[in-house]
Amino acid sequence: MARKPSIENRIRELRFHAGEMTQAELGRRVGVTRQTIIAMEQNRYSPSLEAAFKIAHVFGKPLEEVFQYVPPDG
Amino acid sequence: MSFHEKSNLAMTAIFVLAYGAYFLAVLPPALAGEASITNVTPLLLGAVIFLVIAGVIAHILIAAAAPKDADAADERDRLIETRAEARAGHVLGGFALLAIALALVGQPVFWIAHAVLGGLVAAEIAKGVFRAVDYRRGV
Repeated sequence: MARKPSIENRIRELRFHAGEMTQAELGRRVGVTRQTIIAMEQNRYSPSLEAAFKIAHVFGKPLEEVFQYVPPDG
Repeated sequence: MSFHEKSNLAMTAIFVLAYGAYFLAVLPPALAGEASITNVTPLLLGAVIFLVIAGVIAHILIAAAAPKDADAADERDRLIETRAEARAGHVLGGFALLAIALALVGQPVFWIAHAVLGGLVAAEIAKGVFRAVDYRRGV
């Protein structure tokens, strides 16, 4: 069972709006593997600050429009 | 599954097979009173050779199945590796204490050496399990 994440994201949605960019393409532009993009989209991995900024830069969005902090108590 | 996740599962399974067979072959006669380092040396070498050859074959097959992903590691792989190493260190430490205790009570070299070997093997297997759990559960 996956752990409850404290950071959620809109990567899947933003990829769709970016011409249905593939996970592999996003991974290549950010410098991570396709499997890591999959893990992020499934909220099984919270990226480093550097990777998070790179992802936001790829989509041309501010960081907080891509990633949202969810406090542990909901 | 990434290259490193597949590699981890393969190497953990190979470790269990190689050293599981070794300890199954070595421990029963040793417990019956035939504990001798020289007797088990060929078995130990056999386990190491099996580990190396099976590991190389497994990695060739994994890389051939997905050549683009071969040996690609990123920050998630490195984080999972670091977490697994830190936790497996406790397992190794426990066996090191056992080896010291065996030495202090004057046990034969055979048992001290096998406590150390058992620690290295158990830590490596634990590391593989920790990695597998982190890859599936998330970090």
